[in-house]
Formats: sequence, structure tokens, C-alpha cells
Amino acid sequence: MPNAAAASGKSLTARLGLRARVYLLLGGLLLVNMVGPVIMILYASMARDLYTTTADKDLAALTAAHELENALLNQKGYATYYYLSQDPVWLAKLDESRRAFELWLDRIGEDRINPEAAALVEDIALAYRRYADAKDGVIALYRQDRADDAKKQHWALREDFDGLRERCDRYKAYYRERMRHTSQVYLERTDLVMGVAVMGVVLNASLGFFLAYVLVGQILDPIRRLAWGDAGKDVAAGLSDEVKAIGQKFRDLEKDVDQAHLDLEQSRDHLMQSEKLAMAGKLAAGVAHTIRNPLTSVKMRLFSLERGLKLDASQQEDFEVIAEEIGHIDTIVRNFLEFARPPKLVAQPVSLSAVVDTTLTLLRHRLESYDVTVTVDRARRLPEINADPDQLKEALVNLVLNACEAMVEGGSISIREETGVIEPYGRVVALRVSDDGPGIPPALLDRVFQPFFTTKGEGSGLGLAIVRRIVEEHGGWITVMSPETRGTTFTMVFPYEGERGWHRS
Amino acid sequence: MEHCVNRPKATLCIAERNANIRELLRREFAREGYGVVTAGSGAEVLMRLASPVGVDLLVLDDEIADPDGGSLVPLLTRLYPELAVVLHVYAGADAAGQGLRQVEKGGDFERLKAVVGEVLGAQAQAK
Repeated sequence: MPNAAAASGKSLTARLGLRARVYLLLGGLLLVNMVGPVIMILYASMARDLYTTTADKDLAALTAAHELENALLNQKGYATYYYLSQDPVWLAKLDESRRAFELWLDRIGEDRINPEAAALVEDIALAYRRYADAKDGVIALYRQDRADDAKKQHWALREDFDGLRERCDRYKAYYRERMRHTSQVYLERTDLVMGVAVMGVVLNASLGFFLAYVLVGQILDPIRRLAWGDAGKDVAAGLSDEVKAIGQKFRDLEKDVDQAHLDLEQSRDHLMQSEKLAMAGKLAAGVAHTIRNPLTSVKMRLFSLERGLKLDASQQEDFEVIAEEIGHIDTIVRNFLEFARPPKLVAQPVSLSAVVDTTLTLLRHRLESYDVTVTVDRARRLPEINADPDQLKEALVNLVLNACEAMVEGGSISIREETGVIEPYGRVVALRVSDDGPGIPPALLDRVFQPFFTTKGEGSGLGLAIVRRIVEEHGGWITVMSPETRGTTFTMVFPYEGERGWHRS
Repeated sequence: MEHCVNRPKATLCIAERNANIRELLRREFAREGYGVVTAGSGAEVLMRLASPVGVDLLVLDDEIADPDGGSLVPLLTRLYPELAVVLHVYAGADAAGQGLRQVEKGGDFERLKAVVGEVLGAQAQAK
């Protein structure tokens, strides 16, 4: 069950959002800070009332009891002095003392709230009246010169006096006890106020601690992480304020979003272009496929015709041009169908050096007819990669023939074989095919791999596009360089797992 | 073709979709002395092969499909396992007849003639 309780507590905390938690803690702090002082003010006010009402009254009553006792003692003394000196002046002082006694008695008699004290006052008043009457009787006997009777009665009055004094003492003791009790109550209330204050301090500290925990852990730290990232401060270096850093970050983000939006639009345009091109390609492939059959029929008929015709020179030239142009159409159609075919590699371990050798053997007669010499720069045979040798051969044939056609009056081609490392692709093998032809103008360099782009009258514009497609199907890439429009170098690069050569990032 | 001199020439079936190519090949092979029947579709090929006139070799246009639209080669090799077949295919085409003799379809039909002669010669020697 404790686990269940903990789980439900946790889910409750999880249910409370950050805003609710902060508000809850702030509300708690406010409540403690409001209620604590209110309780203390209340208790301080009650303590003050205790003193100004109860304690003051008790003190007055105690003083009055003391004064009563004094007046009583004085009355006893004045009566005795009169008996000894027979001087009426003592009787006048006795009257004065009696008035003082009755005055104090009236004053304490006003406090009727406390019944116990009121009964004591009543008792004192009755006893005093009896004592005063008896005292008057003794004085009257003294005045009548009946000294013996007066002495006897005077002596008998001592007991009344003692009784009266004892009542006054009880009254004083009663109020002493009340004052002690008041003092006790005051102390208890002071303790309570101190307890409330301590509790308030503890509650304040706890709520403050949790608020700080929530602010730091769930607001400031996330803001800091948001501002500076997990990696550190490099994102917004120089900005000490997290909020400023976030502002900076958001501005950067806005720029990124704008850039991404721009890129997206460009990609969309590019995609639309690609889709259009793909659609045109499909249509053209269909056309090429349909043309192929009648074209073959024409070629066969020409071949047949050629055997039996007896033509003069100009007719022979016409015939040859027709045959040549039909051959050209045939090349375009074949190239196009090759470009449009779905990729299908028959991969096997093969060294690009073997591909180079086979290709050069295959092209020997063509190269001679173009008056082109080829040199192969090979430190050692390239390691084997997993590739389709026929496809690679076709790519290399296209590159070499492209170079031959670029060099109008013959020239030389250099094929350089290399291995190395390019980050992040790792190890690669590369073939560089360079010619010493007129080169490619910089403005056209980006377009040479586009389908149907050609600078030659007879070209299909698909040779280099096919090369790029073959290279990319093998996971590689092709680049072209034509420095100062003198000579052109095509580089085909293929990744492979093997030994290390040069390193470039 | 000297080894064929003392016996009658073989009968060929020229299967080709394009009528003009088909007619040219019929003419050229007939000129060589072969008996020639022609077919322009998969159904026609099957009809010719099923007819009483025996066919010694089939020159098959790779693009001729069986009546269901698939390649004709698997059906032929199942029905006529002994039949000599020369596939006439375009360069770069993904020909279905693995193991069959293939000749590239182009202007020069002399290569086809040579291959047909070779196959028939090899067949005669095997018999």
C-alpha cells in the first residue's frame, strides 16, 4: 500500500503542471506569510488585553487590600492613643482613617464580576461594621469615664480585629493567586506565539526551498539548457543571460526556418522538374522502344540493298550518308533505352584495373581511328570492389569515347588509378580519365551530366548521364574538372573496404 | 554449308513481330535453301510447331510473347525440349532464354545466318 500511495502521489505531481506547482508554492508562501503574522498580532493583542484589564485590576485590588489593612492598623492605634492621652485629636484621626477604609472598601466593592472576590469584600464589610460599632461603644464608655468597662470591651475587640485582618489577608492572597494565574496564562500565550512563529519560519523555509527547487530544476535549468545546449556555451557565447541567449537562439532558429523554407521550395521546384523529366523520359523511352523495330527493319533492308547495288560515286555517297544517319539514329535509340532501363547490377568482386585493361583492348581499333593514345598510370593493381564489370566497362567506354570525340585531331588520354580515404565515406578507389582536348567552358561544367545535354552534333546527350548513373548505382560519385579550359579530367570514385592510401576530408 | 549438300535443307520457323523483318528473313533463308515457315505472334509460333510440317529450328524474336503475355521461352522449352532455338535479341535486352544461342538483332543479318548454320550443323552431328 505505501507503494500505491507513493505512486498515486507521483501521478498527482505529474498531473500538476509546472504552472500549477509554482502557483501552489507561491500561494502556500503567501498564506504562511499572511496567516502567521495575523495569528501573532491576535495573540499579542490578547496578551496586551490581559495586562491592561485583568492584571491592572488585580494589582489595584491588591493595593486596596493593603491600604485596608493599613487603615485598620491605624484605627487600632488611634483608639489606643485616645485611651492613653484622652486627647480628642486622636478621635479626629480615627474618623479620617475610617473614611479612608470605607473609601478603599467601596473601590474594591465595585468589582462585582468576580463572585468569589465579591463575597470576600462583603464579608470584610460586615465584619468591619461590627468592629466599627463595637469600637464606637468602647470610645463612648471612655468618654463617660467608665474606664474599666471600656478596657474590658477594648480588650475583647482584639479578636474582631484579628478576624478582620485575617479576612483582608485572604483577600490579598486571593488576588496574589489571580496575578500568578494571569502571569501563567500570559506565559502560555507567549509560548504559543513563539511556536506559531517557529512553525511559520519552518513552513516558509520549506516552501521557499521547494519553490527554489522548482524554479531552478524545472525552469532555470531547462532555460539554460535551451539557451546553451547540452554541449556548453558555444552556441550563444558572450551572452551571460539565458533569456537573451534564448532570444538569440530563436532569432537564429527563425533564420534557419526561413532558409529551410527556401530550401524546401527549391526542392519542390527541383522535384517538379525531376518529375517532368521522368515523365518525358518514360514517354521518350516508349517512343524509342517503338522506333527500334522499324529502324532495325530499315537497317536490314539497307544491308540487303548494299550487296546488290551498282552505284556511281555520288549515289554511293548518298547511300553512305543515309546509312550513317540511320546508324546515328540507332545509337541515340540504344543509348536512350540504356539510360531508361531500370537499374540492375550483377555485382561480383572485380578490380577496376581489370576493367581498364578490358576496355582498352575493346577500344583498341576505335582509339587508333581517333588517333588517340592512352597511357595508364598504375602503381599497382587496384583492389577488388563489389561491382558489375560490364556496367563499369560501359561507363569507362563512354568516358574514353567522350574524350576521343572532344579531341578533334587526336591527342592523348591518361587513365590514373588511385586508392585513398575520403571522410566520411572511408576508403575509396578512383579512376581519373584526363584528356588534353580543348576542355569544357566553366559555364557548362555543371550541365555535362544532365541527360540530353550535348555539344556534339551527333551525340545523344546521354553518354555522361549514363556514366553518372552507373557510378551512382555502385554507391560512388563522379566529378569533372577542366582547369583554364585546357584538358578535362573525369574522376570516378567508388567506396570499398580495404587497405589505406591517401587521406582527405 | 558443305555438310548439308547431300541431304535436304532443314525447315526453319522465323518468328518475328515486325512483318518486314519477318519477310526479309524468310526471303534470305529461303534463298539459302531452307524450308521456311513464319509466325508473327506467340500463338502463331505454337500453331506452326504443332503443324505436321516439322520444324528443325526456331528463330525467335525475343519480344514475341506467349498467349498470356509472358515470355514464350519457358513454354517452348517445356513443350519442345529438343527443339533448336536461336533467340534474336536487341543489344542490352534482358533476354529470358538463358542457355539458348542468342544473336544480336541489327542490320547485319549474315550473323544470324551463320549462327543458324552452326546450330543445325551441331544438331546434325549429334544425330
